[in-house]
Amino acid sequence: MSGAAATPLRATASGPSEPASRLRRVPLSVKLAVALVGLVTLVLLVNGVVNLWLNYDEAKRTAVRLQQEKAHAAAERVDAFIAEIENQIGWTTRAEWRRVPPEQQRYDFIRLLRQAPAITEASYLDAAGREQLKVSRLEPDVIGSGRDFSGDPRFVRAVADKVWLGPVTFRRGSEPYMTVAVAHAGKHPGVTVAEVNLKLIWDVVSAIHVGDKGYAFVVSDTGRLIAHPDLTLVLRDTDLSRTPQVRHVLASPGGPETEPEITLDLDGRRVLTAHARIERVGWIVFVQSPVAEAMAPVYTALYQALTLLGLGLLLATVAGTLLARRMVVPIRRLQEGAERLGGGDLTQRISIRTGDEIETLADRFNQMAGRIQDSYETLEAKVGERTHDLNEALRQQTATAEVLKVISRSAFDLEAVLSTLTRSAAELCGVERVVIVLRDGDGYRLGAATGLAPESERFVRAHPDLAGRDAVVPRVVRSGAVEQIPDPAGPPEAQHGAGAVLGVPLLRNGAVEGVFVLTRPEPGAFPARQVELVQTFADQAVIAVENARLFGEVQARTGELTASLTDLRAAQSRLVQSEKLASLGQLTAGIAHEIKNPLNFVNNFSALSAELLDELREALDAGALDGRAREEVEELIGLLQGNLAKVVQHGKRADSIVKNMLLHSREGSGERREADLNALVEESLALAYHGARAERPGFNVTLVRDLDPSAGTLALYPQEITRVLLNLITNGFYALRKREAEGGEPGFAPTLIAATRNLGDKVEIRIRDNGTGIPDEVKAKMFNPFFTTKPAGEGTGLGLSLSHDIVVKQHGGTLDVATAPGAFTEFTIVLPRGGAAAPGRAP
Amino acid sequence: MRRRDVLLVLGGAALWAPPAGGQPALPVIGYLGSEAPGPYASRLVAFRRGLAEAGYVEGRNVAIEFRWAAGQYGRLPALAADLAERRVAVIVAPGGAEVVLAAKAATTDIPIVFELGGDPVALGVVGSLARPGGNLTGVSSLSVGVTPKRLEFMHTLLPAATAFAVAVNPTSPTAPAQVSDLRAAADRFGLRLHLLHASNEQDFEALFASFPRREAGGMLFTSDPYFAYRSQSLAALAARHRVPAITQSRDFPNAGGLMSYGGDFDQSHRDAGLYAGRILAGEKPANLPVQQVTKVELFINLRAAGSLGITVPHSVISSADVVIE
Repeated sequence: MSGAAATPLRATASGPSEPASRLRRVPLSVKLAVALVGLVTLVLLVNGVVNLWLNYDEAKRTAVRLQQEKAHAAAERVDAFIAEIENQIGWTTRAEWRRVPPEQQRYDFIRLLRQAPAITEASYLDAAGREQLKVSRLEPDVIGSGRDFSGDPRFVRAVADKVWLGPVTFRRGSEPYMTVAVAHAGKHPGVTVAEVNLKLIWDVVSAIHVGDKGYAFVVSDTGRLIAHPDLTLVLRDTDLSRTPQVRHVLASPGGPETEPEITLDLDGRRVLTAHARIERVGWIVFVQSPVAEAMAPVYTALYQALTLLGLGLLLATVAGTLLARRMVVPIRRLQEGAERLGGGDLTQRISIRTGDEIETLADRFNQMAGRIQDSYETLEAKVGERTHDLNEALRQQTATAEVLKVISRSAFDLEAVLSTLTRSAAELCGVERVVIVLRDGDGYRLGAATGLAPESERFVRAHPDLAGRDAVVPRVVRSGAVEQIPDPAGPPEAQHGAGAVLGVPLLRNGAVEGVFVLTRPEPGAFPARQVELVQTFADQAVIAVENARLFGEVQARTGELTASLTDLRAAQSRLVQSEKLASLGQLTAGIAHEIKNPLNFVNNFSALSAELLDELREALDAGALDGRAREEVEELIGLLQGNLAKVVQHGKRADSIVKNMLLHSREGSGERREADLNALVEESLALAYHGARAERPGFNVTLVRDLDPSAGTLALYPQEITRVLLNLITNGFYALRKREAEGGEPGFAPTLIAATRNLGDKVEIRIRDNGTGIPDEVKAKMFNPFFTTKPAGEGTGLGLSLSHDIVVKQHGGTLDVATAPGAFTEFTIVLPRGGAAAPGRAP
Repeated sequence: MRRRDVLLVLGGAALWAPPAGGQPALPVIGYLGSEAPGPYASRLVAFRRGLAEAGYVEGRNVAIEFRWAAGQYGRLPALAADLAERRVAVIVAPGGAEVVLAAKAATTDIPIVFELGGDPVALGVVGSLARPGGNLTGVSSLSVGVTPKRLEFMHTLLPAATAFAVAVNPTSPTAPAQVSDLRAAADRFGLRLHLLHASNEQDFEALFASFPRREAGGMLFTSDPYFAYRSQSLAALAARHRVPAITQSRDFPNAGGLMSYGGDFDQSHRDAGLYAGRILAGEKPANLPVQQVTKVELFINLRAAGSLGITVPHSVISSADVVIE
């Protein structure tokens, strides 16, 4: 997998806000667990609260009712205690008992004491209220004491009410006692009086258990404590009438038993108090139990609810955690899978076997991942392809740009541009060989090649027609379109062992200017892209070729223009020269005319002087002169004659100059007539040769006559043209001589060619020598008057100038020179047959 | 505070420091016994039961220091003083007025739990039964008060007898009161009394030897711990001398004597133990009223009666709590 392709996926998977959101994120397991726990807690709490709310009152009422019942039970038991005593006393209250012998009565009383341990003493009051018998546990029995109790309530009340329960008294201020008097049956009954030790109620009271810590106690109708589990309180003669609960009960004697209440007991503990009256004695039984204990059921219910809540919570937590784990572990695995998938690991598959929706989800996920993977691979391939394409395109662009750069940089170097194109095409298309064949007239030549062996390239260049032989080239030229030979085995003209060949035309205005040929060893069609590229390159090549062509044309035109300019300049200068010469000619004609006479005079007289000297010598020979004097005279005459000869020589030269000057200034000298050109050339040649031979007898030269017989005649000034020809031939002889004198190479044959040619309305005369040639610097000035390269005295510097004037001005022709220093000089005179343009000018 | 006091305090603290072993010192009950452990065995059982009811078990959360006078009642004050000096948490003085009086003389601040047969108010041990005040409280077995009742029973049993011998311990603080009560009862019944004195075991032989067999129908023992703790030897002597006798303690008929009538010492010693425990738990003796046993018991040994040739009347048998056949 390519990193470049994976990066965008990652980028989308991890947003910039991710770290922050992760901080805030609460794991699903916690949420689930919290939700479960919360739900269960809520249910339990609601249940517990409702339960408590419903049960609290009920439980409280139950506790209170229980307390109340306990109080009643306690009261009943205390009542039963008293009833039992009454019952026991009943033994002695039979109607006939008074007739029982005293011994028997005593025995009955002893038995009563034995039966009822609480009775400390028993006495019998007869019908008159007198004590007849008293049996005690502590004191000796008394029989017939006759003590009068007839006014005592124990007698009176007992007789009246049958039973009298006396007030509670405390013996010696400590032990509670109560007198129980029971009247006997029958008329005029006696009374059995029993002193009951109420300490014995302790057994009853202490047996009343109200829960663990609850207890019962009994107070008298005055609030004195009669019975209490802690006997010491009773023995201490405790008065409880001031305590709130007792006071409350005592305040409403006979009133309805009030609801149990919560008060403080003697030790200051909060207790739930209930009470019950013992109607028989007016005592009140209180049952107290610590609130905590009395309300224990309530608290138990509370604790149960709490325990249940706790248990539920624990269970919910455990179950929630387990469930959350069960749910979250696969989910987390899913998440991890998703993360991995998001991270680009598409091969990852999530394995969850929970058999529920999560598994389905995981399966879907896997399917999705598979599909993504598939599409991703496709995408990847596409991206790769596209990237490749882009790269290719970029490469092509770059190459094209490079090509363009090269083209622009070396716009007129066709070779370089085409080489770049072939090289780039070979590189970009990955082919072995790229050749550009260019049309060259009717044939084709190699424009540029890449991948061609140098010798092959040289060979092809040397044989331009070979370029067009490539099989594809004719096809392209024929069709003017792109041609491919994909299979080498196919067309028989396949060659060079090439696999596949592509030919792309270089089209300009619909004409095939060349062919771009790609060759590669592998068979098969070239991709369209490459074809396109090559077409682009072909276009470039066309542009390059066109550029080159245009450049060539521009260059040619520029050359022509330059030449025209040069010609114009020359003509201009020549015109100036002519004008100069014209004025100079007039001047010199005047001067020459003036100089001629004195010069004639000098020449004539010096010739005459020389002759005179000869006469002098004869004269002297005839004279008498000694030897020595004669010699001296002879020597002097010789000197004088020499001098005079020089004067004559130079005078003649001056005369010649003047003559020339006169000639120069003269226009239209001689008459204009039809003349045979070849004869003129022959005459001039002969004259010059003989003149040269006359001047330098050793001079040897080969004269070549190349005369066109069709040259014919033309109208001209024969004298002038002859001068020109002589001048040119003489100059040629001079150059040949000079080259010979400079030590010409062996085998150097001084040759001078004179040629004529009929050019229709013009004729051409060429004088060519193979002498020293003319250096460039000389060439520029050689038509100027008085310019000469010859040593002083050998030329006037007017020869060429005059010749130019004669040919151009007098005859309207042209005089051109072509020369190569050290090789040749060729003057070409072209004369119009129409004769001299300009009418003759005055000399 | 002067440096010396500090040292004293520190020294005292050191003295009070628990012995090696590091266990916190157990509260100590000083048990003052007039006899030796043997005669006290049944009482100690009852005492320990009461103590246990209050939550104390010897060796576990309470220690008991015993001081035995071994019958030498003259030694009691010294022993009591010893316990007081020992600074015990509570002094238990069971078995008679001599013991509690010795203890009372020894300390006025250490709580004292007594067990006696007489009237503690009359004996000057406490101010009142309901609110004893001071540092003493305890249990009365009522044995002293029922001494005339003993005469009644002998009279019922032996109606023919016109006189009875009365054994008196002249050293007992309650002796005079008992004798006067007896005389009053004897006057009522029309009986004569022969007072015989015995204050130690050496006198016992002479006591029975001097029994006025022709005049007296039987012998009546006043309530006295010295006699009570020696019920075995008294029973043996009575049997040997064939003297019908009644004492305060059930031990007497149980050992072969004829009869006994007196407070339930089991109950009284248990209650004493209970009080000792409550005091150890922090209650003030002044707030604990003097208890009286609820049960005065009549024991009769029919075998002894038979060997003495006495027919026990129905009324006596039906009065008896326990009839030993």
